[in-house]
Amino acid sequence: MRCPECKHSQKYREGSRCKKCNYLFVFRRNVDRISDYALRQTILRLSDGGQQAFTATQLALEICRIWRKKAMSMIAAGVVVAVIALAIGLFLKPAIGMVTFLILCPLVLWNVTRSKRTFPYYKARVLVERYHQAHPIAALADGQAFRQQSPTVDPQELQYAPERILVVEHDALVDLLVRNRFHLQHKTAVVSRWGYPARVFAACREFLRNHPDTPVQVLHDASLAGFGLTAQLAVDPQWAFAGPRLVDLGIARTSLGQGATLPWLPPDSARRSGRFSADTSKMLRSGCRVPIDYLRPKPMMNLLGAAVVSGALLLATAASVEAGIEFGGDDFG
Amino acid sequence: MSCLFGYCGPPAEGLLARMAALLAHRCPLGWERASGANVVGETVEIGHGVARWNQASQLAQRDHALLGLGGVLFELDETTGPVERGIPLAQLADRLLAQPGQVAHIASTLERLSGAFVLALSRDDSIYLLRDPAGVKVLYWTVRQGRLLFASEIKALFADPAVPRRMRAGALPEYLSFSFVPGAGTMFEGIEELQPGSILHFRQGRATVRRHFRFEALEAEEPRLSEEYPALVRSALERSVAECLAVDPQRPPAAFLSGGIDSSAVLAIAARQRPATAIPTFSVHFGAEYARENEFVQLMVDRYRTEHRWLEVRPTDFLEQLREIIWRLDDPIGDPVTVPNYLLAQAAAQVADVVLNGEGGDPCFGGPKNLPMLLARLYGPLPGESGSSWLERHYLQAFQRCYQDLEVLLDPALLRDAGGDAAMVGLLQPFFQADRPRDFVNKLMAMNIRLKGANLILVKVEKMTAANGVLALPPLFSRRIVETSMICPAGVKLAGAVEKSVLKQAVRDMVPDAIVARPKSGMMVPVRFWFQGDLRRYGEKLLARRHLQRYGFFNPGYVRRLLNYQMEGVPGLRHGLKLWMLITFLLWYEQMVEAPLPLSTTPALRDAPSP
Repeated sequence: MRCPECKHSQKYREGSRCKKCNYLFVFRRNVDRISDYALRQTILRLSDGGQQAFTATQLALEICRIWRKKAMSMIAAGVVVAVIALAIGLFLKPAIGMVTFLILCPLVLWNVTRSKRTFPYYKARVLVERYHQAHPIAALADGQAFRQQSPTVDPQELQYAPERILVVEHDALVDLLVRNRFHLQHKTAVVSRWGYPARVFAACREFLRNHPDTPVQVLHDASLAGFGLTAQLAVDPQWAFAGPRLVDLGIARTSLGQGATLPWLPPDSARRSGRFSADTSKMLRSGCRVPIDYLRPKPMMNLLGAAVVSGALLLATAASVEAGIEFGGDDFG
Repeated sequence: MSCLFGYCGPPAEGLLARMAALLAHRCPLGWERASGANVVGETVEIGHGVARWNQASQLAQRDHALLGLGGVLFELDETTGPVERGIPLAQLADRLLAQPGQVAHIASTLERLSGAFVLALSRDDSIYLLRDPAGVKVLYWTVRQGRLLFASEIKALFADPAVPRRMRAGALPEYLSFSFVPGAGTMFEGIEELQPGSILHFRQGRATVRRHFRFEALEAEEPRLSEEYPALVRSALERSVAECLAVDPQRPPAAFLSGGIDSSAVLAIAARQRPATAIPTFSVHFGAEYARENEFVQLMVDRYRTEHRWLEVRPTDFLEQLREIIWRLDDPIGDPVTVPNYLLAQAAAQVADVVLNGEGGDPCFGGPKNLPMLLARLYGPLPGESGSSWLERHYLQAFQRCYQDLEVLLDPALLRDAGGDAAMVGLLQPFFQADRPRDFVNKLMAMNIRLKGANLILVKVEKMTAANGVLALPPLFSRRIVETSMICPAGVKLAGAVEKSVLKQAVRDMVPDAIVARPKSGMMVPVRFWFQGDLRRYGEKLLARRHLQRYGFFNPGYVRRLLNYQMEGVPGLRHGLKLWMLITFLLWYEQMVEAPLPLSTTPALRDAPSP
């Protein structure tokens, strides 16, 4: 076990605390399939060196991605070794080459079948929760950042209005967007459908009262609940003030069929029994969803930035949204 | 062209001529000088680089007293009636030099001056330096060995060998965070920029600076009817434009036109005040493959029948001049707009001596940081943010320069010597903690006027236009407009999410609706694409590991990451802008700190003014 704090390595039998810095190890690699050190590295990468906040969904999906990438590269390495051995053998003496190949083939096959190529999302999620309980992850956006905030708004803060109000489905997404300064870059007030943070939600009422033209965009996961969110808010008494201005900005249902590799997440209540199918309607009916935060934080900020400005959100791969427009420049008149 | 320089203190043989030599690019028509000794026997010498738009002489002398003026003065205290050509120097000299007066009397006369100018006045046992209220013209100063030196550009101060060319420890983090050096400090130790609306009083070897133009105090306590404000702004702007046009009544000014509300408003009013003249206008674009605002510019060109000229700016066209442009920039400004500014001025100089621009609209009536800062205040401190300085840090991040990169970009020892993050926060705290303005939006605007406006926008334009012999005048950044802006309540400037609302209403009948209604855009210089294309090799050569290691300021690994456009580990992205800032700094450092100063060519000396 390698300590993520002091990099000291020790054996399992030496206990679950680091001999050097007393760090408490959370995982056992042979049981959990991940080490504390590996998770810490994943967190560092995902948070871009601690600068970006992320949600538990993003971290769990990142663990799954890394695991899959590692497993696939091991298989690919086995195949390459076998082919090279065959080629060398054939070049020196065909018989030896064939024998080597025939010996290596079952080995590669055994390795392929033995290695677990995927890491289930629900397991990754449990690992994240376990680790967060033992060692709170500072960059984790968990919907708690503004719980202690006073709900009272200074009247001076209500003389203006943001360019738009963005309503998201989960509190954690508010923390994610605000901690990554999305609201500042896009001059947007971000609140959750549950009215979190309370002070900003109260301010939004006033913004709309004083500036009724302010657009209200609704962002949701691709799920049956998500697709119905805008209609649901329109009749929700708490959201009555925004009723006619609500614009659906969530993942479009029509775009679900295009993404063969979309991370469909099973409902929390049926994590283990989630049944997967190519039929997106069936997936939705069984409670599965494609989370809006399936992308890593930076690409997600870029995608949402373009979305709120254009008023349309399309599913985009992380690669294509990496290319955010960036210019230097200044005021000229 | 046109610059002011000089010294007061122990005599120094040939110092003024050496200063003129270092400002040769601003004296192509030669320079003039006045010298003498004040009543306590100190030598006073004032030089002035001559421009086409100057009066016969910008220097005056009466017995022991000397007066030097760089720029133009508008009328004193006149708020009504027709605007005539600015005050003749002789008239000002009569008021300041001939009459006996106490320090208080002199100061009050100086405080009432308005225009785009810097001024040096020596009388009795004192010398006074003054910069105009908005800060259109620039003046730097230092005191070495009992001698006060001042000049329109820092480089002229190094004509005195006693002034060391030593970079100030805190300057580099400040430059990287703001893209300019904010406040009175400059990149050099011991050299200061006289702030707008301030008077420096030098006496008995000691200099004291007092800021007299405190526009923050004008914030209205009892607002008027909201319908009155657009008329107030319109009237102030018309008067400002009239003052600018009066500088050269014979020759029409040129105008820079960007397609935004500010430059369009200025052009519209100027065209109405000079109906018989086709105003020459200039715009830039960066090639058909990049975003441009041609259609908005064309709307104004068609409506006011201007003589328009487009400039296409590509790296291949300016790379050879880049080193020279940075030299003329004097104190580094890491904003890529400097190059278009320079090239526009170069083109405008062919047809005009005075050029109007739309600078000032943002700081006085809008500001891209206002809404983000209001939202930041609404959400309060984020997890992990300090309860006492989170607002200052948000402001620094809102500049979207290298503030978040400092720890990985800069040498740790340099950052430590500079005072680290606390020093950066300390720069902004006085603004946030000031009693006036009370309104948060007005507070932000006051900061914008005093920092970004006076230390970046106006300085950049002044240096880039003066280097080409033209006088740039920003009617939207005059004393009158700054005062009017503060009188307007925040709610009429930022109405909902609409910035510059009151200005838009004020000129709605003169500017096409499409321009009034469009959101703020700014001039987009495609540095990101340049550094992946025409500028790539240039950037790689200048920012090569070996080169950077020689200086020891920057982390070469991080700079390489920027050059490779790596997304990971680069906060806030904006690689192109960051690379531009680094290149600007290195070109500046090579010429201003390391290379020998070019003292060889002294411009021609014109006849001294008659007493």
